[in-house]
Amino acid sequence: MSASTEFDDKAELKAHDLRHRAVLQQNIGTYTAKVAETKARFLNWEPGRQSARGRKWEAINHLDRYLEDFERNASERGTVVHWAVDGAQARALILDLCRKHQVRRVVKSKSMITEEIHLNDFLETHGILPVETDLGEYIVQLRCEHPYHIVTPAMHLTRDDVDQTFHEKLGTPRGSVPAELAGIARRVLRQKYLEADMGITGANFLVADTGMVVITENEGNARLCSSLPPLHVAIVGIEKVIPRLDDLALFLPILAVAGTGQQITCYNTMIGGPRGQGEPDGPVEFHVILLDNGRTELLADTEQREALHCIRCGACLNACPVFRNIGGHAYGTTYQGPIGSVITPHLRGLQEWQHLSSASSLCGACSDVCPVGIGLHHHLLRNRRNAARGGARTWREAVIFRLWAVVMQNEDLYRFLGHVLRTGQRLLRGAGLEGSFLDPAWRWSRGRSPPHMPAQTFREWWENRGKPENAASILRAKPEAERHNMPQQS
Amino acid sequence: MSHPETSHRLPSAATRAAILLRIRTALQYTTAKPQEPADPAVFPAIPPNDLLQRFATELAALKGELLQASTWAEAQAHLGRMAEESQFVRIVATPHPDIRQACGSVVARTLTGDHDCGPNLAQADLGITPCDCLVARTGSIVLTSRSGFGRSLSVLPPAHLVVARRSQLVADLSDAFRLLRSWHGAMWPSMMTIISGPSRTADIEKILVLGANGPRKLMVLLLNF
Repeated sequence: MSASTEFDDKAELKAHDLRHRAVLQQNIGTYTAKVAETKARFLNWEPGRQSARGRKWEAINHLDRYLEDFERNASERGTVVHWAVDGAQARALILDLCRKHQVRRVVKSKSMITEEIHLNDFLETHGILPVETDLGEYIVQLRCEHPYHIVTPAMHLTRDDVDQTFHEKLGTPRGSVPAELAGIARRVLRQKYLEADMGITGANFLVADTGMVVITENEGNARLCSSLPPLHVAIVGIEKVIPRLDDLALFLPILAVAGTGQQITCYNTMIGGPRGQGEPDGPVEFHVILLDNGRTELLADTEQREALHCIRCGACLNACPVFRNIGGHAYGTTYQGPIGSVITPHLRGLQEWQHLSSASSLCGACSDVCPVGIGLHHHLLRNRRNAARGGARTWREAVIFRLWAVVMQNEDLYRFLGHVLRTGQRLLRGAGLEGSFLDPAWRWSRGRSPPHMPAQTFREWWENRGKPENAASILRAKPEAERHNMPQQS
Repeated sequence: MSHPETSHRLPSAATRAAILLRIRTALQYTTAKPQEPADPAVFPAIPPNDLLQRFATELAALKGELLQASTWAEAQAHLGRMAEESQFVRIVATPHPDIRQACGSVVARTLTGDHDCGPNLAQADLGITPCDCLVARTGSIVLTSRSGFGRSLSVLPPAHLVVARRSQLVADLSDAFRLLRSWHGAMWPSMMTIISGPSRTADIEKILVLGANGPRKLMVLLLNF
């Protein structure tokens, strides 16, 4: 099955799943209220995001220089910096390290880039056990699922779902409340940190001028993963670099506000090397893998280069009406929502992933909330254009547009078909068959309230507008939604 | 994808060169620099006299605890009461003169070297560390693997107490970074962290739970003298 068909099927299923919708709305509702409150109280948001955009522009448009700065400064204090063109190289580097140090057990902190390169499956097939330590990630790992959301991996689950999962997988009694569930995970994971031979993390930023890797988190699991095991490996996309340490004074709050509505996340940790001289603990070796994996392709596209400014806060997912209806798993990508729809075609191929750019109302809510000012919905439109350059997607689409062109160029045909459609819809509605399988638009109308076409066409209205009996225009007599021919929200 | 699956056989220097070449080739085409904001003030200024009040408010909002002492006796009384109420028995502390003084009659094992750290800390009830500075705007504590005596003492035990001087209070994160650079710029510690409240998660239904993986309790004992 193609990625596009799979997407259609999953989206269809989730869009009509009312329980899923309720969970999502509760979660995103809480998030939205908190973000609005923090934005209003804590900082001047607009200048903040403009400054952040400027600094990311500086970094991305001088990427070679800043990466070399990072590498030099990090290497000076004993960090081993590796480069990987793609996932296969990154995985091979990690496997080499694991073999060299006889690594059996790995603790991982939340990292989308390790999802991107399917690291967990790879490690398992080589007999190495990776344990996710972020609570949300741990839950989805126990359920053998992929993260649902780049920031909130278990957003789709209720406390009852988690309770059930822990009961099945860890043998805990049913009926635990969230605090108890977190306590259970804490006890299990504590042991894992102490036993682990290697800690693997991602990173939120790379600081060029001090050669540091910055990890943002709330739980402390990334700190533990980078403190206790004798080896620490951070896998980082090359676009994460920022010029100066002091830039964090802006980026840390901006990321927290957009990501969760916090002023700053609980732990922001800057790691500049393995255990230093005179320091009593910390890993003996610290490796950083700088991963390209298609990012340079995006860099080469000047029109869409700014998509590399993304700091993965997840705000565009939460704002997106499409995400809010279909949820994160339907996308079938590592990065969900608008940013995922923008970058996945660049990372994994335009023709196979361009359908995501069409799953958008182009409302621009994503661009409005982006903390680094990426014009996300413009990029969705550009993806559509680029994909259409190769011609129609399917023969069906080609036929439909050919027919459409014929109708649009023939006035009588247009008028006749308009009449047929209006009458047809009226009859269907009269017979109460709308949305039933006898409805030709069944696939669309079974789950939606269809917009109803007005009794009079614009042409008829125009011709009759001067007559006194029509002076009280139709426009004034009809309710708002119907006047604009909008579907009623159910 | 344009990268062949066999590419991982490339030697590392060649990989590095290949990626940098791709970047430089891409950057031959430039993009317009975005406009800087007319008024770049992102954070409203905090008057110097309000620093302590702001820090206290923010730390409380994060569910951290602030204890203030004007004399050593007061500091010792705070610590004694806290140890008794929370039943802290195995207390581990950084070797630091302020902490030694503040502990008074409370028995704290002082870390001496690496044999004490890592997994050996897993049994501790409370870790006591100094810090580099405190940030008023966000109620944060900034510490490093130097001031924190390694990495795990401030994150592995279920409670963390920071002993700080009032003079360590700064307004903003940018002030903190400036100080860190002036102190450590010549030789950075291997880890620095900005701690804002006790460990937390909201991964289940956005319900706040403290003590997710790190400390459940975070206390700051501020010496106002």
